[in-house]
Amino acid sequence: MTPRSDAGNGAGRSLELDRVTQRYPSSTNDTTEFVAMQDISLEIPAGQFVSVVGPTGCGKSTMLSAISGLRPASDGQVRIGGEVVTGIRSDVGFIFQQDALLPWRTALQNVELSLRFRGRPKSESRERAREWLARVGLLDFADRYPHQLSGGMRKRVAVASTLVYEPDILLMDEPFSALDIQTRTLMENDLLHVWDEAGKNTVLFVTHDLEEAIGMSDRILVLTASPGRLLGDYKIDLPRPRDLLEVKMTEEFTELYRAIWKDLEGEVLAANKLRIPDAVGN
Amino acid sequence: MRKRWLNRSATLVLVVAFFVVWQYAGQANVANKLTIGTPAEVFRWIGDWSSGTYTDGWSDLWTTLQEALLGYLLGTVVGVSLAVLIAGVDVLARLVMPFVAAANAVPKIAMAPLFVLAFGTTVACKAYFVSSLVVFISFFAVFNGLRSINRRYLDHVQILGASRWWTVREVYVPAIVGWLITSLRLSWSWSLAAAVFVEYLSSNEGMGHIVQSGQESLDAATVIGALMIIAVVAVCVDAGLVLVERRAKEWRPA
Repeated sequence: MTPRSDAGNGAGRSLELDRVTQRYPSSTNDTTEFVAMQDISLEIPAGQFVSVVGPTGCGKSTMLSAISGLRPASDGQVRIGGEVVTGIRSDVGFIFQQDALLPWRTALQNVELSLRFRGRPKSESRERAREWLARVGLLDFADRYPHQLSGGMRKRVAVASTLVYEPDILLMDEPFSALDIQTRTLMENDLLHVWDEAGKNTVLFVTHDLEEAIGMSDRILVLTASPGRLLGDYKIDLPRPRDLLEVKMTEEFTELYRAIWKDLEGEVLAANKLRIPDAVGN
Repeated sequence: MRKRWLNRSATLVLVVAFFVVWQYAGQANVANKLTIGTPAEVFRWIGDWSSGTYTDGWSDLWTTLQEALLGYLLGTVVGVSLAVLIAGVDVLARLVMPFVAAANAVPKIAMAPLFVLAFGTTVACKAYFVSSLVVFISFFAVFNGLRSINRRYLDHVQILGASRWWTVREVYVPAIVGWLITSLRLSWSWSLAAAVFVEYLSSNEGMGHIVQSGQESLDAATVIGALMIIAVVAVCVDAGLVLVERRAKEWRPA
């Protein structure tokens, strides 16, 4: 794909976090603050698919907001391709957990939006939007409104509307958590396929589903319970292309799962304020 | 399909029964005949009115319509503009809203005499009165609409690269259009009523004036006839607005 100056060229850029901290003023008390994430530093090379897992409230979503420029970090720096992030960038894509498609626009109109915002002529925008809808298998539903589509279809439109402008960094905040498990697996496979076809940009994928994380990523970052800190950094060496149903059956998968879960379990319990049960025999 | 015809027939039967009972009640002087008249008299009056026997007929209706429409347009434009302005500037909103709420609490219909005193009795003046009701309806509709826009849609279009202009066009405008159109129906029903009312209070033309002179001469047929004509106009325009509303709400879940 030829690089375009007003959008990412889709091939991905590196992402760095440098001691990023995010604080929110407490809603009840003016003086105390809630620290969502603390001193997070990490480096992600271009084209890597990274999942971030952790218990609820560990700052996963906060991290994405900070990187995207929607809610800049309280402290520290975010760099994309070496450039400091100061606001919303045209080479970043974000797929939200809940539906963010504009309900008053059809599927096609939703996908076109980013191109129209960039000043592309209407016919060209329409053409590329149709291409992408076809890629996610929804060309027949181009003129439907979001409420006329199922949850999985809406997610696919969301993916198309984000990838259509070929962002270098793709942020995804538990995108499939609201879907039923079968649709989720299909969507996971679809996403990997589209990601591969589109030239493998850099992906930061937040989820609390460890299976999903291992199945999809090259690397997994584990965050602690609030205030979120980096607890673990795991390389996932499973070969690509992957099928999410098949890959779960392999031995390597199970080993990875066991290893990462050990880290994660403690944090999940801490977040839920439970004690780790003593080992049998003690 | 059959069920719909059944329902329609049932309604028709009820309507006919209503007129029959009314006719008998009026004729038999069950209630004071002066109060309720009979359908026969009312329809005869309407016939006379439309052929211009008594008054100028249609010009009265046109007067009332003018007041209602002008007031409706003025009130809507002012209400929408104020809502956009106040919702857009946070400080302004916090300062001004208590006053707006207080003003809204005043029974505006009762302010009609004040308008007559202040402005007089021309068509324009009555339109001002009508607009004073409509402005609150359209203001609150748009203001609440703007305030209730989900943050998520704004975040989404921002990430997609929308400038302020695009955000207004793709999020703010569509979001409030639905609210606005619904309020248009409400505004319309108040417009016509307010126009008739202020004419009733003090006017020598318009449907409200006809009602008032009918009341003065204890002529039930006139009063009821004039009100019926108003009601028919109101329903017809409302039916049109319903169609507009339906188009605008295409995208909403059923």
